[in-house]
Amino acid sequence: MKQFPVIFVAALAVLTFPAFAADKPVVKIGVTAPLTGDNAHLGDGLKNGMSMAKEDLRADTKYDYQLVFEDDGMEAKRTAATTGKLINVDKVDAIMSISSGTGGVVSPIAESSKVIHFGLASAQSVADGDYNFIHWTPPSEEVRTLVSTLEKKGIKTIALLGLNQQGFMAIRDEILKQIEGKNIKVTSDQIINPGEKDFRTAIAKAKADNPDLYVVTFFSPEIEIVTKQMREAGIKDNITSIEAFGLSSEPALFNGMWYVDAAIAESDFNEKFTAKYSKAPTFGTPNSYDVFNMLVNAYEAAGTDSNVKPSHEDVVKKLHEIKDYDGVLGSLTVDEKGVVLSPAAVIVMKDGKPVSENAPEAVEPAAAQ
Amino acid sequence: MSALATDCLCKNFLGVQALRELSIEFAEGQCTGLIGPNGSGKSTLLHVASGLVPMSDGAIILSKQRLHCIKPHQILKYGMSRTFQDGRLIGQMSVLDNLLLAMAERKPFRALFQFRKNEDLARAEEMLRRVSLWDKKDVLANGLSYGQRKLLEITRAMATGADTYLLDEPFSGLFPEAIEIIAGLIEDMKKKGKTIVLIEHSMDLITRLCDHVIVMDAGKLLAQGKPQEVLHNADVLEAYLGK
Amino acid sequence: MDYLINLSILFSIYGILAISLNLLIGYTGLVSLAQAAFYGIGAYAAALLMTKAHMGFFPAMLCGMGLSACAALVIGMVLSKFRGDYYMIASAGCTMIVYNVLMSWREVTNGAIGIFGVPRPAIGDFVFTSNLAFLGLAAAFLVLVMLAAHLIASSSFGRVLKTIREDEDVARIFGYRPLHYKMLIFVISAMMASMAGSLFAVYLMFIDPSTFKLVENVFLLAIIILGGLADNRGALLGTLILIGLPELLRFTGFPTEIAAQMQKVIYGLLLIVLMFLRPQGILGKFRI
Repeated sequence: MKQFPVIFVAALAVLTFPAFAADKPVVKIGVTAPLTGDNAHLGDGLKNGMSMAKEDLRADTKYDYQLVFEDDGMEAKRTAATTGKLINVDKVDAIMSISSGTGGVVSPIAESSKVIHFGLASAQSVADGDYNFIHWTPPSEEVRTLVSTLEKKGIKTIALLGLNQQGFMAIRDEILKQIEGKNIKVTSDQIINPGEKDFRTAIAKAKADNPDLYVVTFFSPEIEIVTKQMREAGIKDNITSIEAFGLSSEPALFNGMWYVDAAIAESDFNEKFTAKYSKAPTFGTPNSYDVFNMLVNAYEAAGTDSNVKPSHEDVVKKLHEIKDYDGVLGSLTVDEKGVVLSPAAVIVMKDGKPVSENAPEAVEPAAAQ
Repeated sequence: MSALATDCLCKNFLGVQALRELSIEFAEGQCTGLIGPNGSGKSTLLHVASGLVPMSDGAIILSKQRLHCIKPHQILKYGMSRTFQDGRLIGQMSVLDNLLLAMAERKPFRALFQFRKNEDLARAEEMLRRVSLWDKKDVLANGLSYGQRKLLEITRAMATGADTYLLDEPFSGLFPEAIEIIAGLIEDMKKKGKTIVLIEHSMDLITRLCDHVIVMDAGKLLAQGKPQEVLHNADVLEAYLGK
Repeated sequence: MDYLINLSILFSIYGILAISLNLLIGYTGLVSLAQAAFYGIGAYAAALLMTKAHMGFFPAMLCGMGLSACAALVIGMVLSKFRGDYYMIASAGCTMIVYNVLMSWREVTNGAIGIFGVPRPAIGDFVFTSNLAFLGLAAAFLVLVMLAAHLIASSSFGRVLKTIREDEDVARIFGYRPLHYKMLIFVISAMMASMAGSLFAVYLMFIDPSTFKLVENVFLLAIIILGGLADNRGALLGTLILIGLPELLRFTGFPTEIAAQMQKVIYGLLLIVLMFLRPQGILGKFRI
């Protein structure tokens, strides 16, 4: 009988714990992403990145964090609908989107509804306004790394060959801007519309000027096709890229070649993710993991009362204060425009695995299996 | 005086000569029967005269104008209208709309701002009552019986108010009642001084309605004249009846 | 509530598009896949004139409609040389050309990146910032277009269109020139699509070429075939179903892991069932 009070207290604690947990104010984070259709793999990676971040979250947070996912098929009209639903029906506090096109649709709605929005977008206008943020290594950062590498390697002439797509066009514009006044010349600048599969004419045209280096920016499978066609044309290893090699499904094709990529996730993260979901993280997965955690940190920091959620304004203020945050994408700082500055890296492909050129160790566990 | 005439009119279809240097006249204000065995070129003549099929050579004289090329949308300007053997009504349109098609504004911009006019409706009512189709005015043309379709087809051509009518077998497959109604319409048209070209196989109807008969065979003129004379012509009997 | 307002705005814009396409396909029998091109021209005209020339929405929209009308005259002339399946393929080519121009003429259209910061329309000092106000505007345009489509369908012009759809020779014999009619309805329909495009641009306040691909045209085609051809109410019903149904399915409560996929499956099944029950479309008066 002596034990009775102990059991009673324990039972009470067990019974009431969920009630306490449920009593925490709920912070809802909405995700609008392509969960079906051609780009479903991107949405899937985003969803899993967010879900993993939520599961990894410590238990003693002031607030309860919930995720709501909506499928936008990466279509503008559907995005307008999902954003409307997330904000007005689910009453989310924050939204995350992927791609510049989707971000472009969400950004003005988020701003006018005063809902925090994180876009994984290279178009900087997505961060316009007080409530919009971008967590994607900006093209300016990637190109700055590219240009300094070019200078280091003594490259004088480059040929640009890229896909007409938001992200890659932002990169191309940035290259032209940043090489101004530098001793680097663009010998040819060719833009290919989506759907093209035969690049031989463009390659021949670029080759005619005999540039030191070819900068190719395409998604998979075009990046593999263009590289193979360049090899056929006798262009071997003087090919580089921004991001594209990292998006390839045949990375071994680029063995020994260097390129610049957005911030790369820590190997721990990649390992853990791959073990959990039995597939590798995609484009944007580590970013979504970081976004979730930055939002949580900002909420926890802004909240003074664990019974009341802080206002979005206060959370935005805290987000702007983020400096040298230790995310899976490295040391992150939010600038005054709302862009998370993450460092770009020079990567060398070794045995089909991207390896940071500056660090001796593999970025991903090299040939661990 | 001819309302419609052909001068050495030729029509070749991939080497087959459907009309061979045909020179005939259809007198104004008369009903001319156009007869001949199947494949003799009667319908081809109507198609060429109404511009649906281009002529290969020769000319058509319409409203005193010699034409080497006729566009179908022009024939009404020359005062001519026609019916089709297979009754080409607009099946998905009401009976009334099928009829109004023959009366409404032709210029697209003006047509955009023209709705059913009262005077057109009044005329349409009168014409539809005549063929007992007024109570079917809102029925889709597809919902009409064969006989009713034939009645609407000829009524629609008449609604254009043209001076010359090319009627391609208006009586074929009809019950006697419907034949009487159409025969009555043709007699009325004759009274109004309209020119009628009537393709018909029934000699009784030809004799009853036509002032003149033209017999075609193998794309050529075989014989012509008053119905009674022509129908007893030995050549005609041979061509027609194989006797 | 605001979500419903959002959906109603989309419904109004796609309703305009569906009605405009129904005039071509349902009434005239021209299976055109060029509608997304005019939708895009209208959207870009408004976005560019408003952001770069600081024009007001209404004059910008009218300019877009004028531009679309001119483009429709040229495209319509070219398309008039084709019939049936060839017409469809050639018109699809027009959409692809406009899409590629939007992608490639980067100095003007900003290419794939799109145009940010398109302002909302304003009348005097009143800006249509709130979605409710904007819905009023979009719905007003939808009513205007419905009215215009109704008048066209019931005018002598509409009667000729139906005649052309079924038998061009008969139209000719009765003194009509099908080419002129087809050109005029093509231009009118293009102007309506352009109007929808301008509304879409100021609604989203952002525009990029991805919306004006061929697949958008297929979506519009699905709307009017489902709703029923040659009936404006059918076009609206089709819009309601194809815009509304996927949104309704968001509330089916499937587990997160499979929700999006299940919604697509149910959506597909429902469409198949609907077409099975009503092959001519729900309110259809004509089958292609």
